Amino acid sequence: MVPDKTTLHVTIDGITLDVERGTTILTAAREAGVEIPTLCWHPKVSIMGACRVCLVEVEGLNKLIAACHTPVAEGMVVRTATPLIRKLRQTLFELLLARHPRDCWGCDKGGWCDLQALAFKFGPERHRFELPSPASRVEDRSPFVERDTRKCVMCRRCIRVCREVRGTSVWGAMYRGFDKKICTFFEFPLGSDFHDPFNCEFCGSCIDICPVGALTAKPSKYKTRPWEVETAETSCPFCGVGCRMTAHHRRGTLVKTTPVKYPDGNHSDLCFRGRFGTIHAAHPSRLTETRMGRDGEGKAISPEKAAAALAAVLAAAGTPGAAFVGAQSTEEETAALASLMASGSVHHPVFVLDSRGEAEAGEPAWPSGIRSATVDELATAGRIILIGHDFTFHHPVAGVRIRKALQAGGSLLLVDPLDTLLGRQAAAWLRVPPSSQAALVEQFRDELASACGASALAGFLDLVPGGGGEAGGKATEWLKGEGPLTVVIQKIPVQAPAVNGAAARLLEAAGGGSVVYLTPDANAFGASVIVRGVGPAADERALEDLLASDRRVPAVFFLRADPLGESARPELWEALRRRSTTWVVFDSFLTRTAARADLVVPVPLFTENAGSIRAAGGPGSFTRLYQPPPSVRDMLSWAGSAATALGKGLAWDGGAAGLDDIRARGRRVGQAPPAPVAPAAICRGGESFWLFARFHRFPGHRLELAEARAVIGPQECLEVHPADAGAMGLLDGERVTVEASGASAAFAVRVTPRTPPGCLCLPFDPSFGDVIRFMSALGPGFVSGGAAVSVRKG
Amino acid sequence: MTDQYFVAYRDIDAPGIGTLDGYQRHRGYEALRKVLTTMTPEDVIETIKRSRLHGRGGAAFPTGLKWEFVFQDHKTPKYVVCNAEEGEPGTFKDRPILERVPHRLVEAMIIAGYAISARRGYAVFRGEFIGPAASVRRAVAEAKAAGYLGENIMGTGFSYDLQVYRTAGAYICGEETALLEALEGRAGLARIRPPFPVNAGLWARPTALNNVETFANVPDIILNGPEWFAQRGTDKFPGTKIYCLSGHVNRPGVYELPAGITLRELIYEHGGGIPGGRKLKAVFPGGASSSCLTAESLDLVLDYASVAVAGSMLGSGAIIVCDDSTCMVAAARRLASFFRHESCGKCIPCREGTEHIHRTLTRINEGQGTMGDVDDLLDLCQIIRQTAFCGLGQAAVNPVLSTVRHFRQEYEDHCTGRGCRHGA
Repeated sequence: MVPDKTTLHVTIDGITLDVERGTTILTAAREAGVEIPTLCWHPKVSIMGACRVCLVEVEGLNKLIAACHTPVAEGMVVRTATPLIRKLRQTLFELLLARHPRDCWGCDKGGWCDLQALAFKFGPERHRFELPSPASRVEDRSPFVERDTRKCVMCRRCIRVCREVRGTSVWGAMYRGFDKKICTFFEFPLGSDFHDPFNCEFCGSCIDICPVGALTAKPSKYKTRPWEVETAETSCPFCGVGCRMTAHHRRGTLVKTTPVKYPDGNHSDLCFRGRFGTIHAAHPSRLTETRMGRDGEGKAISPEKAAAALAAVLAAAGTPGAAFVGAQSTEEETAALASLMASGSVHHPVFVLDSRGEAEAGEPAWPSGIRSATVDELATAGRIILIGHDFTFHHPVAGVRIRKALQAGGSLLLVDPLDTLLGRQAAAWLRVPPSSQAALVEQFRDELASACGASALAGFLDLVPGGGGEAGGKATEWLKGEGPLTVVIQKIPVQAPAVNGAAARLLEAAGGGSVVYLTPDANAFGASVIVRGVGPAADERALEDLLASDRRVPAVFFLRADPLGESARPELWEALRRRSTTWVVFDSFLTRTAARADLVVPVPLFTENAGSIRAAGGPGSFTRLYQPPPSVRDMLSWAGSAATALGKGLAWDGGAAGLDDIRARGRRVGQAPPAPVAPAAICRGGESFWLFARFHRFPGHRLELAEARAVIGPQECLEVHPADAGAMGLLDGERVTVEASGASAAFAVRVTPRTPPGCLCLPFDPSFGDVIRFMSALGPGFVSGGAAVSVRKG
Repeated sequence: MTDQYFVAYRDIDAPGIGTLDGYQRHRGYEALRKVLTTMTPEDVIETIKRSRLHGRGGAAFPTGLKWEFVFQDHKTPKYVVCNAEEGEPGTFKDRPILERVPHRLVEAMIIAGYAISARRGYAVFRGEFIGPAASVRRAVAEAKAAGYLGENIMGTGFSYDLQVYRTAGAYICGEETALLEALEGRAGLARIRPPFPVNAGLWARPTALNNVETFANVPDIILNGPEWFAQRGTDKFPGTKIYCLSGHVNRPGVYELPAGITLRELIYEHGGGIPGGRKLKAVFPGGASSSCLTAESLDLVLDYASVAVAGSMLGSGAIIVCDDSTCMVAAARRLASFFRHESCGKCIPCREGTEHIHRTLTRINEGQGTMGDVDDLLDLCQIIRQTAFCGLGQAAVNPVLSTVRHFRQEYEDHCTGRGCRHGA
């Protein structure tokens, strides 16, 4: 239906205005500057009409009308301030307050609380209905969300935001009438299993949308009052989605971060990293002094001595060393370190590392006709192909955008082996493990090109673990549909180039389209461009060569990179440590890598450091909320003083124009995509399973400081689909031995439909020593691909 | 005394009428045959419109018009839904139809499906209606085996299927949009209206949603013609109405009578008067959610419009009689406890208000209240009536408001230490 655009006239409390047809009385009143209280209404979620505090009088109608869900009619005369309306609002708030705990002074929501503000303006003058004060019932089991059901006004906003925006459905209601309560499914503890697809993802949306103190954030509890904090907008320092957020800080400490509130409610989202992980910036363990000396035994030295020591390391490194820039560093920091590396007599190669310790190549150079889209544009995409691995864990907010597109009539072809709830909303869901995804996308292209009805795709899927079934036919049908394609690619180590190449060919066959390339880090695109712009860039292969060789490397520099703590192959980095004379680490925290360094130089936190970043979310920037401690200097300052000590100048002087030049030099223009690859994993049937790893360390050290690991970290187990477990007679918790090409290891089984049938999934983070050892025994290709294995009980 | 006249209840006591064979011996499925072989959907709607059949669930909306709205909506598929959530205290008129002549409901729902071009219908029962649901389920199975349901019914090309669904059992599910929510698998909470179910009902598709009694009138209207139906009852409310008579009467039960008899005739002639020759004190003419009337209203004509003029509502026709031994405060408290229990909890006024009504009435009933409590109660009830989201909350205050209006003295007695004159 084409919406009728005619204008309607409406009078609200004597103010006449023109509004578009379909506008609600509430929206019209806000346009007219008339305040109508609302409690259950919120721009982000569907309209419920439950709280009734927005009732208004309409001339000619003998009953009261809810302003939130009644559209304006031509000539409508609305009154919102009559004695009757005033009285009923007072009574409704009186009823709510009759059982609301009267302890605003001890409530973390005080000053931020909608109920408090509304009751002040519209509430009763007396309290006729008293109820005995309810017993304290604070359910205190999750590390992030604090619940106090006594304060709940049952507006159901949390239920709606969880279901409609996040797609998780953690919240629901139980019981009836006065006994009704908002709770989890049968009151199970919140987040008892993070990796259960229906469990809480700790995005904090319900905390943001709760109008009262029923849901509050535990990490920021009692840290401040609203009138004491200062706020500023900044970018999230974690993944490549690049959400904008509001940082609340007080006396030089970050208190909490919340989503930027846009008036229409759109894009006001964060995930557990942006909502709770950012609090690492307030952690007391942040580095304030330069430390010199091997393996963390170092003693503090002054900034001047630190600069001299840096220069000495550079001067001593006669043969090329290496520098590693974490892809979360800002463009300015990257430019400063890269310039320093280029300033000496020897040019040291600079690599960008993602927060999994893998090479980061940045944004692929898409051939002409293929557009790079931002994450926010996903919300309006019509036809989306998503190629990923554990998508909603790694990039939850991109998932929110996709869900929004689906609600607006878009459709999704999902390639993700793991069950992340998006599968239920997809037109077709192919549970193909990462190792076969590039080959699968090549098949899509063939499918699109072929005119005949017979589907080669179904045949291909029959050979691939996790594929098969009806999904192939559905995918073929979907691919032959109309409309421009948007391909979302999640960067998976090593696999990404092949998937990118396949996607580029697919879109070329489809006559163009857009790509969203999601990286694990906030400045993945920016850092790579800068490194290429400053000097000859060192590529992925050079990194492999460096790690695999046995040549001595005199000096190694790290800027916000922690491969010892975050890489899936820590043994390679241990070997590098043994082969190098000096490690210099620039970081804000004593990471595992920093702990093994000879010189640890403190750089500012993301809250202390203005700088620009760029990833799939588009350009972003960090705002300097407060000054760092005096002994902490920014990267440009360290690089500058070290270069001065060497008697040289920096290639980049810190100016904006110079940075633009570097960006222009580093930007890649469209080039031919890499050649197709054969599927790495075609094995199905018989005794063997396809085993793949699920890597779970996403900016590990910072999240660990935010105490997130206990909740979102993986458990050591082997995930098996219920059908396969049934066939083998395996029960949850039983031990099995997995064998492949000479390596074997025993794991406890976890039976879960999250893992596709025919596959086994091995969740891990770099602290799982046994798993890491088993994986390295399976060979270097395992982490990014997988392996055919056999399984036996015991 | 006006004789009972059976339309919805026709042959309800005939032996074997519950089975397909027995039902067919009493003109069963003749109306369906007539509809499918000689009438177009428009003809069926026109016939129902001319009969001026009104909905029997409480709102008395013209059934023909409702079906026409659904028929005219362009969205497909369309659905027929029967509201068999008979949950109003004092109402027990649908249960005999469901238990004894289930095929009449099945037949009527097929006719309705044909009239609005639906391919599927749902009979939705309250959770406690285990027996009635089983009875209809059996009838559906028989009708399917006999070819009255399924593909290509009677070779006419019309295909239609019926499904029986039992909700979890909540009073709110009698509200049509809450019933649809429950049928869709969610908790029964009323939806925002508009859109109305005729345009966006089950799964947001046009839905003809009618009461059991409404459906049960349809086959005989088809068989005997709309004029035959309209010759009984009153001008505004033609046909018969089933009254559920309960409380202090000698012969409680269900009575299908031409609409428009008086309250006096129903209670004193059909119901055999009040036991022990006691005097009538109050009548709730539309079940627990209606306002009570006093002996002064005995000559009231029992149709929807007249009862509304008298300040109450006929609802589903549940007439609850209270004699002069009844303490009206206790009665109001009892009804308030029902609504406290059945409020769905969606909107503030009903969720919080029904609790406070119940608490306050309990306090008054125990002699702990004051007249200030009564005033607060009245004030609260007025607000709830004006602000509650759905009909349940709006009507839940009726028993309180009406008992205070008619029997204020009893409240004063409770509040001033004179105690309950009935010893309750």
